Amino acid sequence: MRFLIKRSITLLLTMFLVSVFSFVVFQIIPGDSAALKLGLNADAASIEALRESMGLNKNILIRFIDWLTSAMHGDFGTSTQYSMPVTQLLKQRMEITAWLAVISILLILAASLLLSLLASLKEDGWIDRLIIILSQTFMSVPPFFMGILLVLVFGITLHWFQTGNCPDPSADFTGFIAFMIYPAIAIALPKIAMTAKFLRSSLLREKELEYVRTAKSKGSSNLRIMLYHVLKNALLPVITFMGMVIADVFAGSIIVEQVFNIPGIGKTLVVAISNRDFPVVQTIVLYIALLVIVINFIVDVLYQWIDPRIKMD
Amino acid sequence: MKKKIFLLMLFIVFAAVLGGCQDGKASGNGTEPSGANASSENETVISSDDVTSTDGTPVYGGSIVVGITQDLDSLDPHKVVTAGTREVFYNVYEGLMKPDEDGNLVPAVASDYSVSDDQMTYTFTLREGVKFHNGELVTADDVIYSLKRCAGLLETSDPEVSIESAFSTFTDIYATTADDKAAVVIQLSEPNTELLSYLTTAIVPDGYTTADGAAPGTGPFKFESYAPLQSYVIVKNEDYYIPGIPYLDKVTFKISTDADAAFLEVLSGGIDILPYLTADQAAQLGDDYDVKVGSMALVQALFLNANAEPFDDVNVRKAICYAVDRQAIIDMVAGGMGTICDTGIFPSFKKYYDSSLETYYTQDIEKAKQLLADAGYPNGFSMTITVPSNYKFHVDTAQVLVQQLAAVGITADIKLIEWASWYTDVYQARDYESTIIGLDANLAPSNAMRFYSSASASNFMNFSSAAFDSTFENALNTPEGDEKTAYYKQLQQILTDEVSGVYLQAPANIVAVNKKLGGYTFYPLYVQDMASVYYIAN
Repeated sequence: MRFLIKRSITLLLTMFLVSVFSFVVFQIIPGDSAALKLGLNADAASIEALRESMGLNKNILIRFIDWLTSAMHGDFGTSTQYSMPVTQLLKQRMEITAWLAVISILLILAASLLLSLLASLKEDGWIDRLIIILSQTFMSVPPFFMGILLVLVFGITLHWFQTGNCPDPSADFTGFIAFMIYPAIAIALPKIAMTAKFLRSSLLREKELEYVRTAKSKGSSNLRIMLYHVLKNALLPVITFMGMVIADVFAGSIIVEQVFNIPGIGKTLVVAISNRDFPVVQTIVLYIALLVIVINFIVDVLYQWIDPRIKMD
Repeated sequence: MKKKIFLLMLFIVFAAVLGGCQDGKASGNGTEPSGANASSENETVISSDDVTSTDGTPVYGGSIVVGITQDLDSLDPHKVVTAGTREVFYNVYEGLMKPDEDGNLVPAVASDYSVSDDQMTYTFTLREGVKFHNGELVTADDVIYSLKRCAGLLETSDPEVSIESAFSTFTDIYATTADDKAAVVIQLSEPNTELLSYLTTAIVPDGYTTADGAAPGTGPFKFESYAPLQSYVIVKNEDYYIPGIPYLDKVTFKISTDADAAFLEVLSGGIDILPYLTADQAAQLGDDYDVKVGSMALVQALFLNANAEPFDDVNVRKAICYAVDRQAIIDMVAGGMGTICDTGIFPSFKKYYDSSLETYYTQDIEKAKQLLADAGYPNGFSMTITVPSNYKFHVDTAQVLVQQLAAVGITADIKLIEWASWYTDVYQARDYESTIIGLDANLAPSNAMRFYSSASASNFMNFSSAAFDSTFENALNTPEGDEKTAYYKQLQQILTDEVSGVYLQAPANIVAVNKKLGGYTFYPLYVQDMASVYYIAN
């Protein structure tokens, strides 16, 4: 319980600092959203009038407090570019990016578990070597490059999917998932490589320990030992790593969404920054910060669940 | 043994990857010859009006996807400021007047108009039976409301509505009748000879506000749906007052804020029409697409801040004009597609454009060096070219310019900035040495000249010329005709001679059009006219 309270306080404090930080950064970078909205032909008086109505002329501190109070009431303001409430604008976009992240994470988990188990069954066997070399290769391929390759091969040459034609998840869910597989692969591949390599060495380390010998002498099969004993212990360090990977997946989606032209959070963020759409940027930044914090929290809980020796305090 | 086989496989994989890269390079190099072909095709496409006749027999129906690389500003046509949205809204909204493909203004919601001799009273007879997309007839009240809204004359004004400065002289707008038909009279406080080109302002229903959602218009297509960052969909207006158009049932404008991603969508067959391609992209298009080449309605120029040393000296500005090889720039950045242009009006604005200025400055390194030496810079100087990074075309141009300027001893650095920073630092604060940008104009010649009068808030190049200011005054006060045209040609000569900017080119607009489609038409301003596009009968 104490742990939870402590965690919640840290969470709120972090969120507050993040919002202060992104607010300040937004004040420093040049660009005036009122002027941008009215274009090159606007006269000074119109720009001034719009600045006034957008509240841009108020003191910075007052503006921040205004924003903070309404945000705490769940009102994240109105997008300056789209003239619609930020929550409404982001709702569907969050759903799309969340699916992209979920598919990527599932891919990472499934593929890296399978590969590392295969590799560690026989150290220095040819499967092990192949997996090491492949993971070394894919680790160094950035998601956007992999994305472009996938688009070229599967989108343009093979026509397995139509680039940029991301179906609406509420209308055509299977089509949506079928499309999302490709960007998810682009995000997941380097992470699969890293996780598999990490998990493999963790598995190999565990295999040397005495309890494995005991299990072996008891007559358990190799596979059984791996799945029931070694894997669980080997997962422990990997879980921390997964926490970072998941945060990375969201970062990766920002870039990959550009390549595949997916109308998700990442794409919205990029467009909002170039349009100086402050309410949208602020909300997305907070959302991502919240995600990272929550994921870290889940990692901590998982830790305890897997290894009851670790006490949370 | 196993190891060897494995290594061999690995080698094959690498070889395949490398081979793929080389292919990519080869297609990049292949741009030049095909670019040259396209540029010879260029003239025929731009000048001939019979493009459509070569496109085959039109059939009615069908839907297409058009790629746009900018999201819409607003669904309220009176809040639109970007060219990217204007060219889409051309299909949905109409003003009293409407531009046609030759740059003439033709009556749209109005059927006829008359201007008093003193150029202070404009009377528009409304076309009978024009309906908004919501089915209601257009009345004089709707016209008056729309114009007042854009003139800032409504009692409660929305600060986001972009106020048309040409409307600032409105003293009265009222309904009347002319030959028993509804008409609207606009009364001005001072003569305005170019008001018509501004009356393309969208007519929306009386009382419309942004909160009502997308405004009903009167154009050949009506609004169907919009999803931010995804698409803007329009469908055929069955009640359009011009019989026979549009051909298509539905047009989806697919928003893809990344131009490269949009092009990949063309390659995968997801987009039927994509304008503003680069020459490289045009060369990569497969057999399913035609490449159409028109001219963009803008002048690309290197602007020199006349308040920043050494550009306050006109001879230094002239030296740069002589240092530049415009054709080489067009060849390098656009594969030879583009038209040399050396003044403030672009060539497709045929009526006023002075083509004789194209050879006013031709590259002459010696002369440039001499001018620099006379101005006190025998060893050249260093300068910074500030370029908005979102315009790859301008960035590429800057790179070629750096090399050309080096030949006369000028060391130029490129500074890339975001568009939002360009707006505040360069355009508003005028805190820069030189910048590359394209300037567009609507169909009023004064609109192209608005940047250069010394008092103008848009005069970010700090150009100041007494001759220009007085001639501009005369041009504005002269009704349309030979005299007015002569004034505007004179203005262009002043701009070129006194170097208001180092004008480079009117960039080519390269458009990928699905071969199944015909009727794509270029306009001398930002328009993607979908009413003329059709599927070709088999």
